[in-house]
Amino acid sequence: MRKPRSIGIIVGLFLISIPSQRLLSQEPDLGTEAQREAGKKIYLEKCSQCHGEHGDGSGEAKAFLRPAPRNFTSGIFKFRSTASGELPTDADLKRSIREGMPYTGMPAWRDLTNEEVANLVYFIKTFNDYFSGPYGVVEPIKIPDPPSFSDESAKRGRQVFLDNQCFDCHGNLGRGNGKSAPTLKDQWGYPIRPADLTKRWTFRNGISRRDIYRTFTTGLDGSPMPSYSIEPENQWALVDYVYSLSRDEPNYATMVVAQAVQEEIDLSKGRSLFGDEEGSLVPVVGQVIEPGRAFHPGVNAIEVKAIYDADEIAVMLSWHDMTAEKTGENSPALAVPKFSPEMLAKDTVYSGQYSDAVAIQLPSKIPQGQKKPYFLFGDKSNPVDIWFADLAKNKAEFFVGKGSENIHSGNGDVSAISQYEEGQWTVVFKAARTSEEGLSFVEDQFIPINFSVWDGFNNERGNKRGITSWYYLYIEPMETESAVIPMAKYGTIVLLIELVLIAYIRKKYRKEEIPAATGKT
Amino acid sequence: MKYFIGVLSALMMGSLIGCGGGGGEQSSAEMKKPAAQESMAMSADMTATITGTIHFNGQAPQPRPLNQDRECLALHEDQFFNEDVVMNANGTLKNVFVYVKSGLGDRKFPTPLEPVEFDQHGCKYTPHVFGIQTGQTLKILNSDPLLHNIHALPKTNRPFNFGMPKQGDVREQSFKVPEVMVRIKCDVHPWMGAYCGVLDHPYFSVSDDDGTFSIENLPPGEYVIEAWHETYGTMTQTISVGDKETKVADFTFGKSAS
Repeated sequence: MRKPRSIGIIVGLFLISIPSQRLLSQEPDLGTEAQREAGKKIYLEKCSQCHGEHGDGSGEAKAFLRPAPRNFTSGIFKFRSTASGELPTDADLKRSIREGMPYTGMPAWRDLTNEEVANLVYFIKTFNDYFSGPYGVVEPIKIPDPPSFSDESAKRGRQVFLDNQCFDCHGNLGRGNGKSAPTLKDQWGYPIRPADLTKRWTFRNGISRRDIYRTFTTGLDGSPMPSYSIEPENQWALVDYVYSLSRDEPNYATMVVAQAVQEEIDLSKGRSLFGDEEGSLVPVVGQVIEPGRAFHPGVNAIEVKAIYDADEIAVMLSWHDMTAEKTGENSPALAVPKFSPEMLAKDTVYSGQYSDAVAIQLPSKIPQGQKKPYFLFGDKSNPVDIWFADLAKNKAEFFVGKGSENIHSGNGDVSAISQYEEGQWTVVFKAARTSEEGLSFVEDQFIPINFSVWDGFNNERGNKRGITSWYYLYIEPMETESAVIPMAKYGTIVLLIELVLIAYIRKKYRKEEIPAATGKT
Repeated sequence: MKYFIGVLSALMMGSLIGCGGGGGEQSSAEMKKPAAQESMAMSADMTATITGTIHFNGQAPQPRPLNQDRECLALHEDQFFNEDVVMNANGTLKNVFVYVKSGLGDRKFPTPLEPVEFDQHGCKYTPHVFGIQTGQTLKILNSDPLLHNIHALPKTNRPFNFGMPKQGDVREQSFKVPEVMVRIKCDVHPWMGAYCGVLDHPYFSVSDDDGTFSIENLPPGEYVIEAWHETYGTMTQTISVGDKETKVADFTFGKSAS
C-alpha cells in the first residue's frame, strides 16, 4: 500500500515541476467581441482622423503630422516594456494612450475610463495578426529598483555614454547632433531625428529615470534607436547621466532683460560677452497661420540674452540644431509654394538650397499702450524692424516688414556674428541704442520683441519657419552709484549745519541768559 | 525493484510531457539527439540536386565606392564598393538567393542546431546575402571596435534592433515565420545593408564568386525555384528532379532577360 502512494507522490511532483514552459505559452488576451466592438466605437470617434479608419496610419491629418501617426497594421510600436523584436504589452499601449506623446500630434487621453482604454487596446490589437499569432504573448522586462540619483553616478554615466557611443546619434553633449543624425530614417523611410537629451521634457517615452532605463534597454521599434544590453552596474549610471543633462519642465521665460555693461561691446567676443548665466528660454512653434506653413519646425526653443553699453545694444540668440546649413541662401521674403500634402512630403528631404537663418523682430516705433504690430512681420499701420542673419553669410541684414507679403530692405544699422559649435548655433546681433527716426533703446523701457528661426535642413525659408509670440525686452537701468554714499553725504552735511546752528543758538542764549539767570538768583 | 521501475516510468513520463509542452525554441539537451538522428534519417531518400549559374545580360553597372566615414575607413586598407550589384569576373552575378519556393508539400524539416553566423566587420556585413531556417539561431557578431546597430526590418516576422557598441559583442536572435527577404541595416552607417532569406526548409543557396548555386539533398519531385536579387528582383522556374538526379536551372538577370 505504501509504495504505490509514494510513486503517486513522485509522479505528482514531476507533473508539478513540468509546466513552467506551459505557463509561458498561455493564450494572448484579445478581449471579447463586445469589448472589441466597444473599442472600435471609441477608435472611430477619437483616433481614426489620424490613424486611419483601417488603422494604417493614413488618416486625413497624416500629412500635417511628424512623426507620422502610427500605422497599427504594421504591428510596430516604439514604446514598449518588452525586449527588442517583441510586441508591446497591453499596459504599454494603455500608457501611450493615457500619457500621449509630447511634441507630437498625439494628445494624452486622460478622460477615458480604464474600461474604455482597455477596449480601445483590444480593438487596436485587431489591426495586426502578430497579436493573435506566435508573437502574441509577451513578457515585460524587469526594471530593478533604482538607487537614488547621485552626481557621482551621473559622472560615471558620462563614461558609459562614451563607451556605448551614444554620441554617434545624440551628439557629444547630447544635443541630438551626432554624425549619423542627418541620415536617420524611420521604418517607413521618413527622416527622423535623435532625441535632444538636454530637453527631457520632449522625451516621448517618459521623463522619469525608469522611463530612461526602459528606453535604452528595449529600444524604440520602428526608429533607429536600438536595444542596448548595458552591464547591470552601469545601467543606472547611464540613466543618471542623461537625467543630469536637463530638467523635467522647461523654464520658459516671460521677458528678456538687457543688462548694462561698462565695456564697449566687442562682437568678436561672441557668446562670452553674455556671461554663464542661463538666458531666457522661449518656445518656438511652426508658423501655420499664413501660407508657406511650417508644420514640423526643426527648432523648438531659443535662448535669449541681451546687454547694452552707453551706445549700443547686443542680443544673443542660441538654439540647438542637428546640423549647421552654411550653404544656400535664406531670407524672410523668400517665396514658399502653396501647400499641398505632396509638397509637404517632398519638402521633408533636405534640398541643400536653404541655409539656417534667424531674425529678431521689433516694432519700428514704440507702440502706444498695449497694441503691438502683427506678430508675423508686422502690418501696414504698425511696421516692424527685422534684424535678419542668413547664417551662410555671417552678417546681418535689416528689413522693414509691413506684413509677410510686404518686406523690404531698410536703412537700419545692425551687425551680427554667428558660430556653430557642438550642435548649437549662437548668433549675436548688435545695433545702436539711439536712432533719429527709428527705434531707440532707452533705459527702463519695455520693448516688444519676438523671434523667427529657419532650419535649412528642414527646407525652411520665408514663411516656412519657427516663430515665437511677442515678449518684452526690458532695458534694465544702468546701475548708478549706490545711493547710500550720497545719502550719508547729505545726511552728514545736514547734521553739521544743524550742529552749527544749535551751537550758535546755544552760544547766543548762553551769553544773554546766564547773567539774567544769575540776576534772578 | 518494483519501486525502481515506478520511479523510472515516472521520470520518462515527466520528460515526455516536458518535451510535449515546450514551445520549441529552448531545445533541451535531450531534444538535440533525436533531431540530429531525424535529419540523418530524412536525408536517406533525399538525393536530388538542383544547380545552376546566374548569368547577367547587358551592361554591368560600375561598382560605386562606398562613402564611408573616417572611423570606418581606418578599419581597412582596401576600398569597399557598393554591394547592390556584385558582378563576378566571369560575367556572372553574385549574391543571388535561390530557393525552393514551392513543391515540398507538408514536409516538416528539423531546425539546424548550428547557428548562422553574421558578422559586422570593417563596417560591412558578412555575408551580404544569406539564408536561415525558422527557429535557427542567428548569431550576430561585432568584429569592429565601434558601434553598429543591427536593425532587421522584416514584414511578417518581428523587427529587432540591437545596439552593439563593443568589439566582440554577440547577440542572438531567430525568426519564427518564413520570409524572403528580410532586410538588415545599420542606422549608424547607412551604407551597410544585408538580406536574409528565412525558410522553413533547408533548400536554399546563394550564388557565389563564380555565379553558381547548388541546392542539394532534395527529395525527388517538381519544384518552383525562385532566384532573388536585391536590385533585379525575382525570377522563377519549375523543375522536376528524380531520385539521385542533378538538374541544371540557369537564370539570366539584366536588361533583356526574359
